[in-house]
Amino acid sequence: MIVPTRQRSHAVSLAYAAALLEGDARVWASPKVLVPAAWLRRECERRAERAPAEWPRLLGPAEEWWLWRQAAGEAAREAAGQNPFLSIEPLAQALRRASERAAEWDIALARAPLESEPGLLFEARRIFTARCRDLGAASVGALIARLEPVGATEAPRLRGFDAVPRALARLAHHAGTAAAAREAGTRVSPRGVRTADGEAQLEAIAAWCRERLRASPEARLLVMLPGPAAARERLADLIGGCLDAGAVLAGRGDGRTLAGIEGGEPLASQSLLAQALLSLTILAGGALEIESIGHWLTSPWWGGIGAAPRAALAQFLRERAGASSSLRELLGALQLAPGELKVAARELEALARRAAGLLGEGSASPRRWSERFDAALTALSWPGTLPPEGAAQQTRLRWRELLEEFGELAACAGSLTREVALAELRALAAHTAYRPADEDLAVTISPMLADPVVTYDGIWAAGLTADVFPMPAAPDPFLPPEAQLTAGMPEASAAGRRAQARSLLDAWRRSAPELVLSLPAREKDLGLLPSPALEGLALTDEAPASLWLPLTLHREGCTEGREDARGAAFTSPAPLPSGTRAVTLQNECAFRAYAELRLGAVAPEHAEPGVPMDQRGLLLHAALQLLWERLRDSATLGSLEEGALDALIEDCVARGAEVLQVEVRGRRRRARRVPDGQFDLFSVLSPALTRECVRARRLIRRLCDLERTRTAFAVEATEHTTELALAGARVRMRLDRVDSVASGRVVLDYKSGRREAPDWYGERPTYPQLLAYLAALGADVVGLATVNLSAREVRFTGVAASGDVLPKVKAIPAVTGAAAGDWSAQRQVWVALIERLIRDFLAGEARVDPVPGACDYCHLTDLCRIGAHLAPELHAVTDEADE
Amino acid sequence: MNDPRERQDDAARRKAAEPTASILLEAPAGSGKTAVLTQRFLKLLTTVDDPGQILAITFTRKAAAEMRTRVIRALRAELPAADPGAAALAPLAAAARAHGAARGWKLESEPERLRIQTIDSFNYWLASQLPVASRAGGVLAITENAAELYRRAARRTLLAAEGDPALAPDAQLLFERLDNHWLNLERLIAQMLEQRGHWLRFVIAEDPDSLCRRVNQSLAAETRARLAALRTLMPEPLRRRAESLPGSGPLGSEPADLVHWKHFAHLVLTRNDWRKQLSAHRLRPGFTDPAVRMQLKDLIDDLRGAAGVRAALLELRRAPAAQLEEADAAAIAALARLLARAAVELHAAFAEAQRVDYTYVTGAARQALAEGGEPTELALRAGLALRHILVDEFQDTSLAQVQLLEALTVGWEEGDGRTLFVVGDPMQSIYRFRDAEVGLFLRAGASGVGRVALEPLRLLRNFRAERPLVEFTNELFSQVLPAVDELRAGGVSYRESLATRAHAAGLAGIPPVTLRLYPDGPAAEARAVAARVAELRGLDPAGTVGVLVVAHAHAVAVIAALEARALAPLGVDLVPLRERLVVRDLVQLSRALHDLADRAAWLAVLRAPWCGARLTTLAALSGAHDRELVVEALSNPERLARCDVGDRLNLERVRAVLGAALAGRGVQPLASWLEATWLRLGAADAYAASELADARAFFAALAEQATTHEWRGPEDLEPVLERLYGAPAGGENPVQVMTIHRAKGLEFDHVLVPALDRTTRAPERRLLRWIDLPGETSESNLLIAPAPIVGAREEEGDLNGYLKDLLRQHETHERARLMYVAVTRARRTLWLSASVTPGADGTVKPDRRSALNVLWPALAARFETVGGGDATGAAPARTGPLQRLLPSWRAAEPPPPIAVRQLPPPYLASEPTEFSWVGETARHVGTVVHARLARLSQEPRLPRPEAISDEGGAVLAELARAGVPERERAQARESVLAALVRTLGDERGRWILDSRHAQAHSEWELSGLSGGRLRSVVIDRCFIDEHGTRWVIDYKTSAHQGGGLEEFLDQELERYRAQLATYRDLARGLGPEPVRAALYFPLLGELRESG
Ligand code: SF4
Repeated sequence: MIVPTRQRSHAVSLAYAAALLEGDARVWASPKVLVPAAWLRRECERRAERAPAEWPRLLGPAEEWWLWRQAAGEAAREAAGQNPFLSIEPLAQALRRASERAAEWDIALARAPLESEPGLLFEARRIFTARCRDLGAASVGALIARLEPVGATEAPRLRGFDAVPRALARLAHHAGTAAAAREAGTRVSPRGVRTADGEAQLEAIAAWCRERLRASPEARLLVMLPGPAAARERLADLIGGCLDAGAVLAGRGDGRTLAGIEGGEPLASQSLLAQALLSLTILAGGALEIESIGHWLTSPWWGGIGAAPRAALAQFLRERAGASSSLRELLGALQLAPGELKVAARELEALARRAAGLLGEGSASPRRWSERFDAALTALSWPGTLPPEGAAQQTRLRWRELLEEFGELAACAGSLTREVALAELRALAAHTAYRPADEDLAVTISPMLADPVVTYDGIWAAGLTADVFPMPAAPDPFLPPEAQLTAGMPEASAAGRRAQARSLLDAWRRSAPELVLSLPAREKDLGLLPSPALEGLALTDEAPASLWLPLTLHREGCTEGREDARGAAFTSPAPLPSGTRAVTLQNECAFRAYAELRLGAVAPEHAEPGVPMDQRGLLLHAALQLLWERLRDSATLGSLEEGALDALIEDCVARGAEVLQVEVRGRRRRARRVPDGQFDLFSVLSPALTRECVRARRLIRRLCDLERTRTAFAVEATEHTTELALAGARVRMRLDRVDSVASGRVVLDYKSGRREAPDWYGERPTYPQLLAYLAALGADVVGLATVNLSAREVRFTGVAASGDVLPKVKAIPAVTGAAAGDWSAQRQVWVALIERLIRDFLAGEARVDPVPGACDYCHLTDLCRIGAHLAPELHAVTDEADE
Repeated sequence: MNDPRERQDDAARRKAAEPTASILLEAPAGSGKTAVLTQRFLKLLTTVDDPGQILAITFTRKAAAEMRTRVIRALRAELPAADPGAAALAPLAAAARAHGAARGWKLESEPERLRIQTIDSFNYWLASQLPVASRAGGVLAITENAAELYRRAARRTLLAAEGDPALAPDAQLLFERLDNHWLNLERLIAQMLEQRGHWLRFVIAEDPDSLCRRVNQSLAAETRARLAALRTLMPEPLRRRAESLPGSGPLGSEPADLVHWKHFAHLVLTRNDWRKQLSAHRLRPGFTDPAVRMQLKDLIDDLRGAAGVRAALLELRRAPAAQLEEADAAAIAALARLLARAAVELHAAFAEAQRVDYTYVTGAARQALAEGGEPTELALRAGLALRHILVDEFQDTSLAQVQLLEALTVGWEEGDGRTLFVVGDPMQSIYRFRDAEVGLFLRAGASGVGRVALEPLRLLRNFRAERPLVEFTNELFSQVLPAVDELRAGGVSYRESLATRAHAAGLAGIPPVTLRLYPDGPAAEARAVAARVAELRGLDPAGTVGVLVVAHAHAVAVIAALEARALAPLGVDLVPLRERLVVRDLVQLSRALHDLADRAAWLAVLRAPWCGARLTTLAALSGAHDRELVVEALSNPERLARCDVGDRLNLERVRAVLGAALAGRGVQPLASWLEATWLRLGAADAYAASELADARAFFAALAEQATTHEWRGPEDLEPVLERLYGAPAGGENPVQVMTIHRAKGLEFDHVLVPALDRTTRAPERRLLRWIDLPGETSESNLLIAPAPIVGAREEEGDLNGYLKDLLRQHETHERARLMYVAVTRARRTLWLSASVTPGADGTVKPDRRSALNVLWPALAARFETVGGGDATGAAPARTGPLQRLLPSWRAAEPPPPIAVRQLPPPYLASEPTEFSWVGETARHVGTVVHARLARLSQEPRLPRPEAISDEGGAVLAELARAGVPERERAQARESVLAALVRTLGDERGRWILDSRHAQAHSEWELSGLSGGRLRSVVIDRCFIDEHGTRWVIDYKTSAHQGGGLEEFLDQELERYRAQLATYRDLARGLGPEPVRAALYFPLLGELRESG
């Protein structure tokens, strides 16, 4: 029997098996249910068996694919000139399909201008044929014309075609080209259903399936649901859930053994295979973005190294490797893994090195590459341990078949470099459609509106709107339109499509005792018209109750609220984690302080290209530290010639960059030293860092100009670390800079981000760390300020005992009338505030209580569940972004 | 009909429906545009040989669907009698049917023949029907999520620039302007790629400076136009006097004169007004002489009387130079080169992903129609095939779309019977964010589209709104919209409407127009809106109600208030769900399952309501610099012991579910897997039913993303969340809540437009600011300014600042038009409201970016301020943040499964558990030997081994067919012959092949049940021997060299034991005979039976 698609062939085989098993058979000759291409191939083989010398070798599927790509590429290059095609792959597929159609429908191709569609097809096929001739081979399509019709007794039965291609009809002794319409049998009257929208349609289908199967557990149902694949996925889940909720809840499979979807997906999109291809890309030395490397490492398809250490390694690499890295760079970064990851890092390195070695390089035949790909993946422990049966095992088997097919390219592709071989394998995997074989399904969900061929107990054809059924005409753009019409290709014209729709409707009506035709009334706010093929059919509006498992299982009143604003107290004798950052966070949001510093829920770090923000700050800090170590005071600064100052800044920035180079690979910078072997990687400044140095020089120069306007000062300390006992805790702090001025000391904190309008006197001041420094340094501090260093501005933002301490920094508001008294009183308020924050931190106080704006750049919104507090409204941004 | 405007309206309607002329029809809201379009379409159907010769284009799927539905209904005579247009359409439809019947078409049942489609689908059709001309190649898959491809292309561009000496200086220049901020520049380039429809054509030209030249031309043209306008405003005598002032030059209209004009403007103006103080020290040198100062004073006095001069001079001061500044030109040239490279990278990214965006499709369609600016043969053919084109909503066309129309009509000749009909309402042009440019409409009226001249017509009657509303609209918008069309600023003047519907009584106490301000905040306003809706429901139960908002977010409060009053609102894509807790929990669950090291995600999973772990528990399981991941800690008894006792059961349960989920990762479809895991965690009971609906929307969106193969990992959740909206379901005649954009084309009896004070998100900073102003002819005036240098101050006359202002004016005008659209949706009553906080002085200052701001000058005095009020529907009290399933919670008992009867499962695993690569040739040898043995087994008499050597030639041919390379064929032939000779020389071999055996088969394809599984196998040889035993034999063509033959054979037997067992098992089903199974080795002449 010949049927149009593999899906129908599978359905017929299953129906045949069911019928025989019903009759108690245990074994039987496998039915021969073939698709046209397979049947034609078999016929060619049979003829060739009798006269092997007269028949060329038949190309394998991969060979044919490859040769068409070559032919399409060559023809397209000629045709396109300066303006290349988007991609050869789809062009090759389209040309190949057109050539096959021409053969199937007896359409002769004629030479035409190369820039026209038929012209390009003619040329590509000429090239393809010439290549075949060189190889002593031919495609099945090319041999159709040579085939004689089979003997009348051997004539296969054609089922499921709404129009039989001419060549097939001729060879198979089929009378006429339209097969289905004349078949005998009773026709059922369809029932028409309209639902409010697509989702309700899925619910209606699921309800129908459930009722039919409940009434008759051996029933077999067919649902045809054209349109996006996601709807079929959702329907399969919906049906699976309502047929066997227990299986879903117990985590047994996904209900797909009851309701499954027909049709294939690109093999390359299978997660197992995507991992294989990604692994090979990495092993072959390709540079990948760090996110892809993360996916590679956290994929489930590994053996050997456990999932947890791999995840930790991935995280480590995100922090330490470049934004995009090659295998060599990855291996380099792995050397820096911290103690707890060393074993896993070494293991990974060993696997990768061995696998890369087995992959090798240079050029080789596709077969050789297939062997190497397989060996390399095995060495890498891909895909880990798979269950002996099931989808993953099948996919793995299909991968091996793919490697076999790729190996068969040896005859036509010659020798390939590693990169080309890998690219071709990737393309072949993307081109190959695949879906793991299904079991005997109670409900088959098909994306196609097609003749079912076998009899079902019920058929539901869904989504029958005017723009879907009849299907829109889609003539092949590479074949002359008139020839397509003459040949009777149904897809070539609206009339052909209408005839096709009639034929399909007829096929559905005789293929089941129950037929439902449905459509949604709307898609969002778009009203949908019923298909004209449903004319005369009364449509019943259906609004079924939801069968979605979470809703059907839902019970109200199963939850309770819990007050939980305080966590575990900090009782360690160690200093506060992260020093003054604990105070800052506790002030901004107690929950955040707890989550970040006590639970370790730090913001995920991502390698960035260029010079990431934190490192820009580091460079400025390092350079300014060096600068002030040399300058020491305002007098020296003032006395320097312009040129000399510039030279000094340049030198300090250059040395700062050196420091950064050593530390550039991670934020936990102070804890790490780079092993000697790594220095060579950084011996030349990257273009981005070179640019950053220029920027830093510019900013520091602007700062120096500002510093020159200050009253006399001396820099007492830079990057000064100290520890303070406060509110029963040890607080470590690192002060960017402390200056001494005539009236006392000034604490300065460099800031390279945007300046905020600070609040110094409120309950929750903007810069509590500065207040902590104040508490640490004692009573002679007379000014606190951030030094804002950004392209937008360079300035001091702060508060001081008097107005002459820093440029544009005002004295604190007068309260007592005596500035010193005001300052000292305020100082006490500040110290008390800092102590309270520290006490809260120690007590584990973790209220979700952010200061305004704190949540804007916080990564913990989903952990603190701030959404439960917020009004359900989006923030509307009012400011113009570049003002 | 006394009003001449009514006669004018009638004439326009008649003319517009006549299918003989090319027309531009201005059809204001409620003027019955759809009726005119349908009439024209039906009339056109009677003039063509094929309905495909008429193309109707719309800009939205909805508009296309509506037009199509209306035409089909008319053709099927299905328009309801109450439809005001039905009577007029009936005879036209009958004529169209008769015309079609005579030509063999029957459109009423063949609606697919009507070409009524969106411009996007038309472009797609063109590009895919012409894969060579468009260079699309094959089927184009369109991605909804091109952002990732733009980003990838941008990154590759910058990475390439780092190492490419030709591009490095360009990148350097841009980095410098943008403060060396890589991600910023990358983002801006990605954004430019998204907008490439505007610039691509300039940068793909070979000369990298062509973009600058183009901008300079535009600047010069703009300057000329501006100066010419000024010269018109300022009569020549005044100009002469101005030119005679010290330091002045000729005030001509050439770009070179701009500097003199600017000098003059500075001289006569202060910041905002005419200069009053003329003291010498304020003026430039040359004005020390009091007489000269007096001359200036007189001139200023005279200028005061010249209308429009002051405003024009003020504007002129901010106008940019007529030529790009050197730094800007350098930046644009650098950008042009970099962007050209980015476009190439994007092309590569599209090719790699096998997906494109809509801009690509539009470009491909244009490419198919015009190669190098010239129409392709196809454009001419397409133009010939199309006899009539209708374009709806023409006010929302973009430049690219107009260019497409130009290409389609390029071969049209005056009087050849072909027509172009464009219809729209410039006052409803509200799609700037999709590149719509209202100036194109205005220009089309003046100079047509391409070579087709259009006759401008205007409809005046309003059939929708009752008289008071029409009058209110006329009054309001004649003040809100500019007095004259302003092409440059994107302003459209108001076109008055004529009321035709009288005011109907029956809404006691509700005036036609209500204007309210709520100082108590948005919630109070939302409650008032809900109260009004309730009132309307009572007075006019059948009346339709629409609540229209500027942006989705503005509807949230109103929806809550309506729901609180049980007023069942209906909304489409209305409520953003990305911030909903149930969705956030799902986001974290998917992150945690994807990345075991994502500590924040794992902690969030433990904090979600299915677990609700306390902070102390979290601290027991996770700490700063923790060496264990949370997933590991969950299995660490020592750490579990430190957890809160009340949490432990939940932790156990969650650990078990997540462990199982991780074990099954990658096998099931993503959304199904996540949903099943979520359900098993107890989510069905952990959330309210309404929240579950939000989760369902999330799963649907996730499935959509995953099935398009655009899923890499949680980083792809962003586009999923972006498109995630809830849709309140509504009921019978629901209150429809929607954005004004979505309401376009709709009408309601009662319209409420709340939240007028709210603003929308500001446009993001861009690498380039540009504006494509329609020029007098088809080419536009493109003005481009590179992003200003970070930290640099804006100066007067700075191109960037000028463009910023200009764009702001466009925005403001469009906001006014948005209000026009909103107001004109109403038939009977209108409500406009805002929640505002008056300043200390009691005055209200609407935000510049709010809709209220544009209405304020006209309505400030009429708004009524309402404080206090009804608290029904006030926001519910906040619940505590931490929810969890009750300690007593147990999963619901699932309903019993339906015991579906299925066939035994098929055997699906790989057969041989190990995978060995045999050489290619050895494999082919095996194939040929198998085929030959099968053929021999059919011979009545087996040949002698010696006879086989004669077969060498045929074997060679078979090997060649099998694909054995020529150089290996001789060797392979020897192997084949050796196998055959050995078999035929071996007694057991001859016995196996003997055709006289009962029930003998070769290469037998069998199916059946084995080991409880359905299996399909191919058995090399099967027969019943002379002793009544059934044999199943599998040939193995493996060769064996060296010693240890027995060992080798045993190994082979072991390797294939399971396979033989299956064969034997199946063969037992063939009959009662005893079955024996064996391997036969033709090359070795050995038979090995499996016990
Ligand atoms: S999102 Fe806001 S409330 Fe939540 S932890 Fe962060 S700062 Fe605190």
